[in-house]
Amino acid sequence: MKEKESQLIERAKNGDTKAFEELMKRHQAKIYNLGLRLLGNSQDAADLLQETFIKAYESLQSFEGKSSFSTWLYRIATNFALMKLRKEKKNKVSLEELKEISDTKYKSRISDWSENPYAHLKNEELRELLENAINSLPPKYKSVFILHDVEGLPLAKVSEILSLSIPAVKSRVHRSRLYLREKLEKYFQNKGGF
Amino acid sequence: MKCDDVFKLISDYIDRELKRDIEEIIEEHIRECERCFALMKTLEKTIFLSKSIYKRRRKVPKKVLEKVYYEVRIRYRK
Repeated sequence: MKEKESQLIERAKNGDTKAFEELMKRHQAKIYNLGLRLLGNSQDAADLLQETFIKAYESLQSFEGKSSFSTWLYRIATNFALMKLRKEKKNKVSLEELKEISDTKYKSRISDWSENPYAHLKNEELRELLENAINSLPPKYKSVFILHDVEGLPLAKVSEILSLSIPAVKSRVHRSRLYLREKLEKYFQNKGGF
Repeated sequence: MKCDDVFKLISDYIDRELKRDIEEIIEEHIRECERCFALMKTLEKTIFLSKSIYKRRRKVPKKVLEKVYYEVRIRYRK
């Protein structure tokens, strides 16, 4: 039978390295895949995994169990990713542009392209466009969008991981979605017709 | 409810973050308003497509794991 996570944490805190490695084993795939999603390549995802576990080992005594162990690891991993993303020189959409999309009055024309035969990921062009658009989100928006809409974590959990208020998380999710939706809308407009 | 209000609340609606009575008002509006209906459908599709891009979960390569465990084990001695 699988040992309870809380027992493993206690043992690891008391210096049992086998217990710590069992914790690593249980979480490694999740953290590595989060790294791939946030940073976009396997080398950076490997670095993220390594740095997350080193940091977790070194600060294990400060883990008080207020959040789940998984949330705590996510927080360490996301902080590492945010630092890395902020150093990137790639072009990002400006915060002003994101705010403008959500703050300006609802524009008059919205087209329903949701049933368009090209609206699927076998369409390489669309896939690339969407991937680039997600990568062009400023780090603090991208992290929220990936955690909530891609990883499927609840808003409260995202707020805990990123130490943000729930309204701040909601606003970033909303703006990211509107921005990506608009990118797709322009793509379908250029394709001509819906 | 006006279109502008729907525009502000649509993400909360998709996330089921609104009270039932507000949800019902939005649903009523969407039934009548083609534009807000299109907004909702295309936002849902945007989320679906984004999720699908990253759907495949990858196994951590053996070499990566070896290095990670090695680096962590060095810390045991410190």
